[in-house]
Amino acid sequence: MPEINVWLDMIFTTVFVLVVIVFSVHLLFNFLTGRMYRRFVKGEWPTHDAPLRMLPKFLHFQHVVCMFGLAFSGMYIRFPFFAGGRTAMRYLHYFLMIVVIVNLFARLAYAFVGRHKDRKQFTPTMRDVKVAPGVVLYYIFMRPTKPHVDHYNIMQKLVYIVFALLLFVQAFTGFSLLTTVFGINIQPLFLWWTGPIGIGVAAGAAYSRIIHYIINWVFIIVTVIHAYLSVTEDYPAFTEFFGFGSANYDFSGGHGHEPAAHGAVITGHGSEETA
Amino acid sequence: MRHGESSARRGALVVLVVFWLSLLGTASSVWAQSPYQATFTLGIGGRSGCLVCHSDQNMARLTAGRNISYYINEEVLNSSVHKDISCLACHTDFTYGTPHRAKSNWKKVASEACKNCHKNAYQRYISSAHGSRAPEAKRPTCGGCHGSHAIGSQLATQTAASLLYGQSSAATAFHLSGQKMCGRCHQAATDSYSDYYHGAAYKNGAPDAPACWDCHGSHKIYGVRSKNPSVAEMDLVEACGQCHAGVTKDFLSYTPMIHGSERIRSENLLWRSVRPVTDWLAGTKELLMSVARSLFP
Repeated sequence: MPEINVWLDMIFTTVFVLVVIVFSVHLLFNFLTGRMYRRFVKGEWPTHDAPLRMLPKFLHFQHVVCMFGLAFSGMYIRFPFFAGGRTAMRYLHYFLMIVVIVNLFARLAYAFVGRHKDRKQFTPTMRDVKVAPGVVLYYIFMRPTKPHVDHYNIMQKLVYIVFALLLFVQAFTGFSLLTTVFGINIQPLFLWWTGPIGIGVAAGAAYSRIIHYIINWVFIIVTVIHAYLSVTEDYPAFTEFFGFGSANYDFSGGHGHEPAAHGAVITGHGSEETA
Repeated sequence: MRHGESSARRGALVVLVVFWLSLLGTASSVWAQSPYQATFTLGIGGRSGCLVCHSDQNMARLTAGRNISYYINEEVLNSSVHKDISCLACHTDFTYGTPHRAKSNWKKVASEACKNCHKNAYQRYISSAHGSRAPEAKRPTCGGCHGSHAIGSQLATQTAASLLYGQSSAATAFHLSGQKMCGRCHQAATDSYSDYYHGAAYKNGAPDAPACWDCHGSHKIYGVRSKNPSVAEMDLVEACGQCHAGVTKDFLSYTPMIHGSERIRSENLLWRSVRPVTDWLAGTKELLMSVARSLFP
């Protein structure tokens, strides 16, 4: 077990550094290929055919703040890098964890129930699978435009779905690390699986902590990539999500590609196509 | 005639020398007894008599080139758990004279004095590695770990704790004092105590991270190679079980991290592979900083 912990530190720190390097190179290519010039100087940004609604924007904002806080306090709990912060960081972690879980259920409710339910925007389809190679080629500068069949591309859809699923796993493993809540021992609720596989509760909590730590790194790395792509691919939408700008809208039905409905036409979508 | 005069002079000189020598002898014997001939008359039932002199902040004596203070802070003493105990309850070898010239083996006296009230703790201590196996000169006494005049002092520990860790509780301050207390003799062990959730947290003031004695025991402490160890393979389940419920052998595989995290990290293959890069980055950073310092002094 000690070796596992040290290996995880080493692997994820290295991966994180590599991700930063890779996306720094990606940013350089954005400049070299003129994508940054077309976007930030000429203002050629993707357009949206549906308004970004207030509730998802608020939930997203709240989620961002909480995830930053959770990553910071969680990393402090593992690597206490300043004196006297353990108790405060733990309580901050617990509080933000509750907000994130409430947030997650609120977002799922919004996606599945109500007038503006948008679960279809996140559902991968066969058309998404067909254009997936094109999306990848666009991001590695092997293709000038991004195939566009839906509100989100296939990579976004997969990442958002996996993110939501991992939030459930993260919440479960996090609760299994809590021993008592208001004087009640809650570990049996979350470590019941240790009995059938023949390891003790303490070892089960240790393995839960390892999973919790791995997912924490996955969140950090995915969030860094997500933030980078949000800014470089659609800065106006990024500003609207945080309340200090407005995304580009085109309600005429075409928003940069053929006026047919989403999913019917596989065409280019990106800054180049509107040039 | 000349011979007679010479003998008389020599006799007078001898008388004179004997006179001066006797005068010097008398003076030195007087010097040895003075300046205090008086019997000790201050009250020693409480501590007011002692504090007549010892409350003076300038009270010190130069011994072997060191200026040793004999000042007692009454405010600290009043906040100690021993505030109602007279000085003589601990200073049992008091000489009833001033200055107190008799050499005091205060370490031994302190242990013997504590025993009078704390019998159980003393019994456990004398059978432990600290009480019986440690070399006489290095043997820790009660005061070595628990302190003396400021023992359990809210004021002293709170001040120290707030300075060290930003903690306000005396109990927390005592809990966090292990690194300094035990590190005086066991520096390698306290230095290596740096794993994620125990040592690193403890050294950064986590009140719930275990202190040295939470695992190794306190008064009845044994060496790790002792036949009756507190922390060894046979007792790890019990030691870790104080905080972790349901401890099994699987869980104990973590224990090498507790005093070996740095070693395990340094032996990690990936760490050894990336180490030249991190060293290079550190060197580059240092170079850039020195350039920046020279440009913007």
